[in-house]
Amino acid sequence: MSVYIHNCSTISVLDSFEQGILNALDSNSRKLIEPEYRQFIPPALLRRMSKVIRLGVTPGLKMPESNHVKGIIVGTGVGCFDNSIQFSKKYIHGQEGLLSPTDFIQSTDNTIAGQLGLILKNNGYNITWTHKGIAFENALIDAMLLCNEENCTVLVGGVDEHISLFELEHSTHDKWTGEGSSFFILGTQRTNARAKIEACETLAIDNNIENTVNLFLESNKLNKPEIILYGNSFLSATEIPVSVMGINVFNYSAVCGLYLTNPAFAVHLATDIISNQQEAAKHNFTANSILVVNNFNDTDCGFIYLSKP
Amino acid sequence: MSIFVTGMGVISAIGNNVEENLKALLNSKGGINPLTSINRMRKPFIGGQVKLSNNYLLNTFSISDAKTPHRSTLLGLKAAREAWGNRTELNGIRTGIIYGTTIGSIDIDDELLEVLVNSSEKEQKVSYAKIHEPNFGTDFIAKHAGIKNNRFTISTACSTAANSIMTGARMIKAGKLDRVLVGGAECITNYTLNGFDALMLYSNEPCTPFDNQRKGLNLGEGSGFLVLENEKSVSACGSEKLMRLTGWANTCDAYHITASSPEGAGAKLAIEKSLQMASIKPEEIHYINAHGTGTPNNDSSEYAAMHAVFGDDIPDFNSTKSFTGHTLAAAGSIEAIYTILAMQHNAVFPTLNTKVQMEEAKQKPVLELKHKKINKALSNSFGFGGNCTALVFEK
Amino acid sequence: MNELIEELKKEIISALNLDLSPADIDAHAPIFGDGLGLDSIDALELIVLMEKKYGIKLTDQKKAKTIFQSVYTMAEFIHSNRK
Repeated sequence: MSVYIHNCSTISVLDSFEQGILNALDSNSRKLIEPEYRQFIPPALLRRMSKVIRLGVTPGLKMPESNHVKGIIVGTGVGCFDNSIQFSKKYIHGQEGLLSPTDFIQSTDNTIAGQLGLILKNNGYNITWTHKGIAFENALIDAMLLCNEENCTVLVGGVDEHISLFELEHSTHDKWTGEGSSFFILGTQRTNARAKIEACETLAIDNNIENTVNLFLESNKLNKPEIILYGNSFLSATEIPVSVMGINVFNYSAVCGLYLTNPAFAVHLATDIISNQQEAAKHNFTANSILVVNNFNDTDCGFIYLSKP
Repeated sequence: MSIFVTGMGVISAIGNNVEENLKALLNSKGGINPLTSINRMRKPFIGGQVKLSNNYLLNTFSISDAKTPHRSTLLGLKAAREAWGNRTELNGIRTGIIYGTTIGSIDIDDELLEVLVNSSEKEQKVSYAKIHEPNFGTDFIAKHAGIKNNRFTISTACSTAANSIMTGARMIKAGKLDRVLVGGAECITNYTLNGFDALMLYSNEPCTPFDNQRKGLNLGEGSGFLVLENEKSVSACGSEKLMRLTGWANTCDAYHITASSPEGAGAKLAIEKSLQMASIKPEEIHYINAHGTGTPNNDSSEYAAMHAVFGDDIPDFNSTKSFTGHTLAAAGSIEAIYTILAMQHNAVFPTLNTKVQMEEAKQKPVLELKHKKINKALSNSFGFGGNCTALVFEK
Repeated sequence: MNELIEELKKEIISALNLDLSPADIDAHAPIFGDGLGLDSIDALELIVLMEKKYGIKLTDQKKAKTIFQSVYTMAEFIHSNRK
């Protein structure tokens, strides 16, 4: 059950929103580069949006294809937690009388997908997945199902904002807290596609990563990929390997930082590599098949296999 | 391909298992009362509380995990175990779990929350991120059910569990799974009590769904789980076919972040699509378990949607939230189970406390227990963000 | 009253997080619907504002709608009813 990627949009610590990820890869930034949200979000809605909601809706709104999708699916690991904290403060700090409701209504994790539906006036399928470090994979599996069920295009993405979790617990050169939002237009038509997603699955880690990768490839009848984009969406005690099964590994979470839906960033990078071979060559990436491996918490692994359309 | 419901488990204010819930429904025994055992309530709220304490649940399951599960997870485990029964891992039968909760993702009680909000901003975010684990319940229940892979956590506010059911069915239909445990759980907390109160949607009297003088909702807590299987899994596992799930649909109202459109556009579309999928004409539906929260907005919007689909002759409909309160993320699965019970016993349960027909309506919901054959039924669930889900069950 | 109107404009901008300055708001113009594009959630926030800042409890949402027609009608109501 494969799908094609027609377009992608990412807000990240790179200048990806303007340039895509591959073209902006050389930047060393660790600070989110945000667009002018006003250009995309109606003011009446923007004024209520916390950071994660702005971050979540904007990439989708940038892509014109979003106006024709039959479904909007979002994966988020931590969701709208800032709104939750703000609302909790209001009643915990012993306020008498009425409570302001805005933070409460903005705090449900499906607010991002709901706001996208509202802004795009989209009456289609609208679901949010929240399984922490594999929330994006959950969302992608759902999106691939929907595309094939209804022979349509779907807007799907992953978004999470920065939480200082890692800085306080475990920080190294390659493992630091990031944030970002990556969204995709998926469809069943090959014409004008930038890449193809052959399969997406999550598996409990069976002995070790290599073994689990093998299980994934075998059960989905896939050949070994040419490169692996490997990262962590959460804390992991294991180092990211230099190669897996003899295949070169590129550490994507060292570029975008650790956040629960960062596999979405890797999928955009993989799409750029496959669709822009010239630019990819400058970074020593040339590949027609790429496997995104997400080691979440040393317990589960997310796999997303992309190929040339 | 048929999707069969082969297991059910439920815990709510009106009973700790399926049998107790059924008995209460047949005897018009509602569970909405003044709330007790919730510390630091800002007001004397009423609601539908489950009668079992956390300690009781922990002891029943002999839970000694390092991390003490949140109440919503404990309720979820209770219902999941009833639904799952003695099922085990089976070679060749691909199994999964789809679960959701709203408040349960804030896996912390109010006392700890108080410490959190009084710490520094940075510490707050770290602590919150540590405890905000929407997937905790899913993984916890999966472990106890022996489900290793295909674990999904969904979050769409009040339509969550209905969407768990729907996506489970879709995965079976697409050939990705053979068997799936689907549901949701929720417990009552100050967070949600205060939230709905801030929206001026909380009634201090038992709710009266579809009543012209309705004043709002009451919250409830509980959990509902179903087991869905395909024919292959039913044969391999020797399961009993309880009901068929033949239609489903999820849509977005796209009108407002919380309120439903006056004409119930999203709801109407969801109902129509689910009937279309089941290849059923509106007049074939014998019973509707409405979302029916008892708020001015939901009930008139939902009525408008039902009227648009069914015309002046809406099938017998009720709101079982009048028994349990609004169980938020668990509502969709608890009410799916009540729909199946209604079909199994050919009985439309009453809508408690409702008396006066809505001005704009041509009929009231069913107010007294009514015995009739129910072969095909519809269950509605609507959530914040304009999320609308409809499920169709058939014998 | 003029002072109250100016103060009220600032309070409304703050409570509703509007990207406007007081000078942008016409005191007599309707603020709901087409006016400033406010909705039912804003109405609730204004009810909270009335209670917290001016000590006026509004329990009837329909009555509140009439009071909230414009900044001027709000100011008038506050002037007559504040504690």
